[in-house]
Amino acid sequence: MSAQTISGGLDEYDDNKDMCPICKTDRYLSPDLKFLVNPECYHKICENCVDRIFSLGPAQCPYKGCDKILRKNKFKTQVFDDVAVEKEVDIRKRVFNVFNKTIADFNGNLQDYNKYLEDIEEIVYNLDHGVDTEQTEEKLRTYEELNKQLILNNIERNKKDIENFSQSQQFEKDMKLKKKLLEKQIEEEDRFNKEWAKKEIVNRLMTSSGGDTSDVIEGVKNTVKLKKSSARRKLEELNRVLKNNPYFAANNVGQNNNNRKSTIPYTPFNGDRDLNQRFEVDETKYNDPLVQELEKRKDYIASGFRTDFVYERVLTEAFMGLGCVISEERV
Amino acid sequence: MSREVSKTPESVKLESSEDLQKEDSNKPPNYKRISDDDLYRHSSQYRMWSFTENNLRERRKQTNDRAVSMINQQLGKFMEENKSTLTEEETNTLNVKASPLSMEEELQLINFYSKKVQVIAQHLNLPTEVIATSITFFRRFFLDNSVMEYDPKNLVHTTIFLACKSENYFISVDSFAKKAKSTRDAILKYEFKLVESLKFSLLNHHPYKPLHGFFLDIQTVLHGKVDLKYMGQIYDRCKKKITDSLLTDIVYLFTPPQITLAIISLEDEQLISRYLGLKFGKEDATEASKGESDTSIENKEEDEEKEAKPSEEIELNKLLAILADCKDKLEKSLSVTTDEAKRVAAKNYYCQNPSILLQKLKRKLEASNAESPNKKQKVEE
Repeated sequence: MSAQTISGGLDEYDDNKDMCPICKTDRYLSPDLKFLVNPECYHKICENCVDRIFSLGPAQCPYKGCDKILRKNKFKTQVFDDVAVEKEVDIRKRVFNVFNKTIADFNGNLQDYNKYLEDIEEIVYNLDHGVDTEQTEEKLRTYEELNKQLILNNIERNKKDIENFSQSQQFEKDMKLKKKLLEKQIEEEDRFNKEWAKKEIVNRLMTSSGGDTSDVIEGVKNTVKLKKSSARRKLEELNRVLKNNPYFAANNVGQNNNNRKSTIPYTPFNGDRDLNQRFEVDETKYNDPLVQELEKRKDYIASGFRTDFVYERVLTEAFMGLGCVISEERV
Repeated sequence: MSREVSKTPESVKLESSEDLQKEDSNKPPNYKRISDDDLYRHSSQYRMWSFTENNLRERRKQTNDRAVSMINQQLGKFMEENKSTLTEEETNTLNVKASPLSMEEELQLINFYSKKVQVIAQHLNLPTEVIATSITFFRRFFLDNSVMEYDPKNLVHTTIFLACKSENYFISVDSFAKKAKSTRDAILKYEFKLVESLKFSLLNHHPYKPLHGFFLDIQTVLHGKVDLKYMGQIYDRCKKKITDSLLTDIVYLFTPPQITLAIISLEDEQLISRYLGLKFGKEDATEASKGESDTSIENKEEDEEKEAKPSEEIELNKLLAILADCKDKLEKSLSVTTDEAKRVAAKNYYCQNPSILLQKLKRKLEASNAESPNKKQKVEE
């Protein structure tokens, strides 16, 4: 048997991606051909066929050997090319709509939250791969029944979160726009002032007749400086507002709190380095021509060379293992 | 901190460590501060390549035994196969000349070739650390592998090439082969075996950095009391001696700082004893004075705090004893002469290739038969 016949046998329906397997319409001939799938079996059918077959009510899937009953309102556009991915995403969407707790619901207890997430993954996996499907469905249903109020609350909260987020985004966008406008205004005023100063100097020099020219120029420049435009003041105010931005501040504080809670610093040896070192780095006392020479070279400084790093490293190595007595310890 | 008097010292210590743990309550369990010594104890050099003298000897013995039994098996097989054709004379020669190497002879050969590694690496103008690493790799390889299994000649270039890579001094195989007048395949043939024998531990702590460190620290401790120019001279001379020390077994028996101090003290004993006295002797004195006045409660508490300090204090006397031991071993180590090495290498070759020995013997016999009977006697000797 050749490879071609094998693949032909397996992918009877899929050998042409741009052709509806039911009515054989080709995208080449009708460019606005659209494919839809039904989450029951994920078989690909073109829009026209869906209209034609399912307008009169539920019917069997037209694929050979597929006995699923499909409804028209369940059909949707396929987002992912791979049907398996599409299916998993759908399942995920469904499960996450029910299991929608966040870490805040566990009072920040990471372990419990992780267990919860693990449970969700299990359910998704089971549904996706058809393991104990009925039991899992049952589980999902009972959970939904039991926690109806909680789920609703969470949905509400999620909505609010999203709203807040988009609001803050909008706010920032507006502020930026305003800032840009003001900056433009300032630029224009500056240009105008410059021109005005030039003209003013020429005028005054013409009228003053023989005074000290540099004095005149200085005087004009000072008046320009004093003309602090209203636009500039506005920009400063805007910057201040941005700094005290309620959304901004709220976000930052929240992050800081989270960080502080979860940080036990990573310690590779089950402990930090001992702070009582056996040496002190005192650069003033060292006479080390080699290293000091390197410090003067630009190519070394440019790549971050610093003498104290060298000193610290060699001193650490000097006392690293000084107290290890191999003849006693390695018996 | 009130404590019952009846408690034994051990329980007191235990509690104090518990106190420490209470202090860092949000730290993970078995939290401990890591001293510089512990840091070294985590290194692969300490975990895999540090031995007591006995362990070292045992390890070599094991390797030797394994190789000897293999060679003996091969020789026996050879004798068996050629039983019919062997003359009595040939059997005698085989027995004398084609015997496996002893552990000492192996060591001689390894030492000789380590020196070769150094010379060749120097000839290739490699940096000091690369040379040091190649020597170390070479010697470590022959801790677990016998020269009767792998000809040291074949590994010289491989170790140097690997050392270049592991010390971040990369040269491509082809240009390296060109420089070393070897071939690409010869260099790469044993590379994996080498890395495997090194147990994939490629980071070495050579005593050069500690030497630099002590060079600085001596300047601090003996500030204004040492001539800086003189220190520079000492530094250069010690650097050379460190490379020589890598050719000996002390790298397995002592830690790099200990070797460094021993070598500096070989150059200038007074300097080191003054330095160590000031550096580590002083604390002993202060502790002794505290010990005298330990009747007052305040002092006692201070002492307890000191006890709780996780840093490991260095005992001067112990350190000095270690250094003396190390110095002793350094001075005792002797180099292998070329003649000696040639003899051992020949023996090594013959025991692996008895047939060549026989061919040689035959040729000699023919030659001596043709010329004079005197030479025949020499061969028999």
